[in-house]
Amino acid sequence: MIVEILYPEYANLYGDPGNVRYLQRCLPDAEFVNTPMHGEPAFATQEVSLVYMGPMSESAQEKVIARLRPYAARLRELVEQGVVFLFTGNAMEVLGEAIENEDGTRIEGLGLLPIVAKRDMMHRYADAYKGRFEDMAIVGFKAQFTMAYPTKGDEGFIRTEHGVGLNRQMTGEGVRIHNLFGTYLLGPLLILNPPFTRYLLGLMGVALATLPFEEEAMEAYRRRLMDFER
Amino acid sequence: MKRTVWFYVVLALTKWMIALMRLLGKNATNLPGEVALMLCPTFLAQLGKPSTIIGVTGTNGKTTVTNMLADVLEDNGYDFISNRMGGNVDTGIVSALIRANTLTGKPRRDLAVLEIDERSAPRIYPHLTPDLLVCTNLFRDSAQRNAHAEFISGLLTAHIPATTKLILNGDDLISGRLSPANERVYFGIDRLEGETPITDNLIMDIAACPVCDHPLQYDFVRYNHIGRAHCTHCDLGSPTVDYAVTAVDHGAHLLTMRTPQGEESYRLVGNNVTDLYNTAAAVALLREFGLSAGQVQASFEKMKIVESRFSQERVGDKTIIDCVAKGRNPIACSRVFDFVRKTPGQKAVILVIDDVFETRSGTEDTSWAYGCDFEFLCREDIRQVVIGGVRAWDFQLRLLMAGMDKARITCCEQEQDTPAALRLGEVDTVFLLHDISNEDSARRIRQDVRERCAKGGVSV
Repeated sequence: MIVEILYPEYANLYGDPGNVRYLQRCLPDAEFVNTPMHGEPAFATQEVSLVYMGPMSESAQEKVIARLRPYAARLRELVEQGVVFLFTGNAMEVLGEAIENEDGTRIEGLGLLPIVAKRDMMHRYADAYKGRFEDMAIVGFKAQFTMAYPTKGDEGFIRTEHGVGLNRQMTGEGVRIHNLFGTYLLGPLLILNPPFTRYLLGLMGVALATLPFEEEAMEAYRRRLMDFER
Repeated sequence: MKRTVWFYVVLALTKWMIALMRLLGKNATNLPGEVALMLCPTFLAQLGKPSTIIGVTGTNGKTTVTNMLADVLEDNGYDFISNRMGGNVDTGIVSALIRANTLTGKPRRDLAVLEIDERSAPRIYPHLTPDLLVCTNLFRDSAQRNAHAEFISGLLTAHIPATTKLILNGDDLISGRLSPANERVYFGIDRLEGETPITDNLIMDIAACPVCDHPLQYDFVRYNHIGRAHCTHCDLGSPTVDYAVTAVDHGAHLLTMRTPQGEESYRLVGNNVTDLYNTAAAVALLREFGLSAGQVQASFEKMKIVESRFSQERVGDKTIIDCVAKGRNPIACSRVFDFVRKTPGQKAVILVIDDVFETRSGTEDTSWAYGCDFEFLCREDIRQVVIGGVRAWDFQLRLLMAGMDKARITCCEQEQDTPAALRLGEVDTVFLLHDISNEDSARRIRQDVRERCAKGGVSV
């Protein structure tokens, strides 16, 4: 099993590489491939079970888009095949249709997700988040300069109960197409949400009897949920 | 900017406010400035400023460097305006300037030494031009507020006035490249004899060349991205350092520096590498300001680190070390954890780093902990980590992820319960690591730890 981490030298902000470290604990026999900016992605030529990318700076987003553009068709093919993707924070935006700057200039994205992200670099949004996906409560944090606007009426895959969704007017958070999950949630998401981690591993065909540190992770998760009930 | 009548009204009002707050025993570090800027948004532009302004900015170390500069200048007879009592954002700087202005809006002093929050650059520099500005370093900091180091360096470069002379960290390829057209000198530390590189940090804020994106080759990593590097593809590389620490004699408490004027020695005011950087930054600025080596040396002889950030005491047969570990700042915490691991002996750590004020938004963001080197605490000689506060279980999980044995971790929902949970019989040093926001709580914890140590480890 191959898990590919895209551009970790850039896409490593906000503690989100913790997601990768947790996956390494979950999948000790998997091969984790770190693809650098000047390397060819493993997904281009190999079968991968998960492609992960974390949040990055705005200039890095533009570099990543340029690097991935030649692979846009391959990415689309893998998404259609049901390969699992997890893109957290503003990593999701590179897969969108475009990123718009305050001055109206646009950076064309890869066009896989029906969203346009709008930057507002002088107004940062940061808050705690709670929502629901299927029968799971999802917790996390947001810290971002952008809001995303669906172009095809997508309502997000998490129903927001605390905080905002893809933008301040939406209750839906994240974008899902088949097994591609894009979300603004930081956390790291997989450590903060053991039920979602189990679900994601299930999509990869992995059924663990127990997650690493499951008891302690669930205790932290329960206490976190209690915060929102106060 | 031409002054308005309204400016004078607001100045009088806020000066009266400061006087009233002082009568009530308050420091008036931020509120008067907040009121002034709310009532008169151009207040800072209209306010009188001293003819010479020294600024200190950067992610870590700016309070310490500001204090060092203020101590040395005070010791050399300078009378100056300072915000060293607190308040490094625009409101704090305005408060400090109001205090030092006459009712006619003229500064009472010719010199200011100001700690300037790096994130506040767009609100400060258009109205206030430092003659000398030292930037200690730039790292990722609070994700909520500061986003990332590239964002902050971009803000600073866009807003630092063109006439400001910069004193920059030559071992930091992020802050060292600020405002490239400005005049500058660099401070830094040569690779010291016996120095071990720290290559096990989780975070490297600049791993690829910012010019051509090719990998950077680090010739020496002191910690995180601090060190000497060059690009494998283009000519980008660490600059030549003008004020470099070349040797440290811990026994004699002396450091040696290579400066444009020759070799100079200064008293060590701490044993950490961050203390060396802070000293190098302060010396470089003071020498560029015009003080002689002798003047700076004499003042350093009298200096001590601010008590609220670090203190050490011996109680019974135990050493208690109290240290600020700023939550949400992964680098600052990692530096403290590195200090803990390098301190000899058998150790216990009390960790109370919740930012409880943040819970008003629902729950506290702990994502920063996964960019922080909790791995440094996973050592045989760290016998126990007692975590206090509502987020104790998150930090327990972080320590387990780092590889710590669960038997060494104790969680206490209440911070005040942490001293009683210490297994003092196993250790000779107790570290109390706390945030700036919970110093009152930390003081009570330290007192309880003291009492337990004085009674030979019996619970109080």
